[in-house]
Amino acid sequence: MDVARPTGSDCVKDSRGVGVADFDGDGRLDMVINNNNETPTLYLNNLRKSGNAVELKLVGTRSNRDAVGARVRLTASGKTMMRQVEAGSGYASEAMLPVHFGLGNAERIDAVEITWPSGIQQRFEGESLGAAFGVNRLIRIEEGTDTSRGVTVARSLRHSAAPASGDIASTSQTGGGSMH
Amino acid sequence: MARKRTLLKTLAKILVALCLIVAVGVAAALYVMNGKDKEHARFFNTGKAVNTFLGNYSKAVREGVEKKNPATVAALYSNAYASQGRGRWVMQPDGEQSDVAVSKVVAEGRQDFTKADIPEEVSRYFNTLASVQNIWTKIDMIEQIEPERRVTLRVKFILDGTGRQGEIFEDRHFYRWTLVNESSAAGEINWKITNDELIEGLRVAGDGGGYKDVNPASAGIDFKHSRDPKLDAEKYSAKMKFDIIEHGSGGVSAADYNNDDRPDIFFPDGVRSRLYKNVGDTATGEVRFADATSESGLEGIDQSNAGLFADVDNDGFPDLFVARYLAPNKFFHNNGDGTFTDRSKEMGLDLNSTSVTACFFDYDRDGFVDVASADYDGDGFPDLAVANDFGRKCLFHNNGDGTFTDAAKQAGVLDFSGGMGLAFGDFNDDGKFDLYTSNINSNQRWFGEDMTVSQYVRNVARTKWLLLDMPEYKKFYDLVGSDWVSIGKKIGAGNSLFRNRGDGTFATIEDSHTNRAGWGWSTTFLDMDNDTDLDIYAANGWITNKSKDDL
Repeated sequence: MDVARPTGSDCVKDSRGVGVADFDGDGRLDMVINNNNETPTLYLNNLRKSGNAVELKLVGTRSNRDAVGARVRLTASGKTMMRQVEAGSGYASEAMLPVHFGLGNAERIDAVEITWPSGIQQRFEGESLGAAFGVNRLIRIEEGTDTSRGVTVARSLRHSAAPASGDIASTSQTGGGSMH
Repeated sequence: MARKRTLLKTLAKILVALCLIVAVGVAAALYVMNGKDKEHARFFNTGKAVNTFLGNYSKAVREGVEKKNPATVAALYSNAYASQGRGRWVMQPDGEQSDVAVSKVVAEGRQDFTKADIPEEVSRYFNTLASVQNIWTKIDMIEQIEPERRVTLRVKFILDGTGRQGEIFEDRHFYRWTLVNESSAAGEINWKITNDELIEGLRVAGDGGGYKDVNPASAGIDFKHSRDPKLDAEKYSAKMKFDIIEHGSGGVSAADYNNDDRPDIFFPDGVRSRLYKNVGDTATGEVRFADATSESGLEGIDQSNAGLFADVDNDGFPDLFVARYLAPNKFFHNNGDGTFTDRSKEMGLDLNSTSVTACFFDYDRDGFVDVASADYDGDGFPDLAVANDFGRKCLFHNNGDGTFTDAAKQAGVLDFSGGMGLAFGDFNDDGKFDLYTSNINSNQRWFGEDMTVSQYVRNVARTKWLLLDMPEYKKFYDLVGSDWVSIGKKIGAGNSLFRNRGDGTFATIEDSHTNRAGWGWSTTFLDMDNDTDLDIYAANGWITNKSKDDL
């Protein structure tokens, strides 16, 4: 489903690359778009119905320092999501390195599992989650620390939007469903 | 002597016979070609007339809304129009998602429709519109064609409008129309709709405020993209065959080069690439950037298409790799104090990092357009996917020993089309990376090139294309067999979404509402509304066409 027009992200320039990042640190992903032979477009995410979020900055010690290629699985409100650290995606574009998880109405993180490019697996759950893991934060995680000592809060995200509509479980979709 | 003469006679006879055969063959070929050319002319004429008709339909809707009169639209329906069991098409609310209200168009009842029913039907649709901003009526797919007589096609109808409550929306409807030529004059075409059917229709409405379109200059970004003047199409495109290089530039990177947890922006450019430092206040949400091109030592990078940041030497500061076309790539080492040093020469090309490998696969001018990397089969080794312009996708499986094998065919992601970008993301949360590809999508081109069979044959003979292309045809055949028709359909269909089955193969998702985005360039997965489901943003645009960004 195309929601560009009703959300105001339907610029009519000759667009090429898209860089996705949380420029203003509010936990909502913004976009910068380079337009061929034109001025760029800067879209600040202003969606009113927006859920909680968390951004994880991974720091490799044995893996490459940017942890490019790391996979992160995060569980909240019974749903497990997966992201990977990418340096370069889309057409000639690069998004911000920290991985971003939208959390909907979830107020806490239940588990985080990281598969580092080195092969090291780390799972934070229950006790090992520690105090640093919370919603609406930018969290720094260093590779290879079994306890949560290597996990620090870099900054809290200024979350001002109302929760996303719908209950997390009911909005999860399967392969044939419609995207939005 | 006599034997020799007999031999000569026989040879002459054979020669004459051969000449005759060749002459007859050439005559037959010319006759067939001429016939084909005529057939093609009629075919071309048909397509052109369909596009004209669709343009008239857009005009009729716009005029009708302005005059609050359905007559302009009804006039495009045949007096013989009959759609059995069509029912009335009504809009039904279909839930709200993030800041967007969705309505579905559904057929209500099974009433038979004749021309007398059309004005009321059109009026009901007009009543949902306060004003109209844009209308596109386009061929989505030609299903049946009897040149100059009858066409059955899928029509894509897009209307950007404002509703009665001031909400702004986009309607995206797909119809199946049968058009019949009602002109009696030879060579003239006057299409009328004789049958219509609803395939699907959506209205997405909102207040348009979800993304604030910030004036970049007011946020400190005084950049304007320029093409490399060396890539003047007039002067060079003959040499380069295709002006993709001229028009293709314009990547952008959001990276935190100074480790202050505020994403900065790098614009690669044809003339002067720029780095903007994020100096905004994340506590208040103030967004501000400062041009750091000079102070960081990145002045004067031209001819560049992509600039990717990655901490290649693991010293804690992201270095910059700049992919350039027709010029050596550049590598800048991040000194950690906000400045970079050009170390292109020292670094060479043998960098042991996935991200930079991805960069090196980028833009080597031979049709490789883009690369996305993910461990799609979960064996711990990052694999690579490559989109090729005017070709198929490659999926390079990492063998884990430093080599890659192209597994696109086995994995089911050949995805023939004009590939521009692709992205991995786990959209269905099953723990496996799925693949979204953006492709150039334009069914209009079909009729855009008035290339006749004889022209093609002449061209092939002149340019030896056939000989050059033979290995390609062979490769193509090896990959897909003789199933050309489905490939043709695929190429017209636009972007693709593939679900990772988890066994190393992918399934194409037909009804994800994510294809048909336009002339695709960059594409990316993101959860824009933090509702935990991944969304897709696909940037579009092409030279003179009206371009749009679709989500």
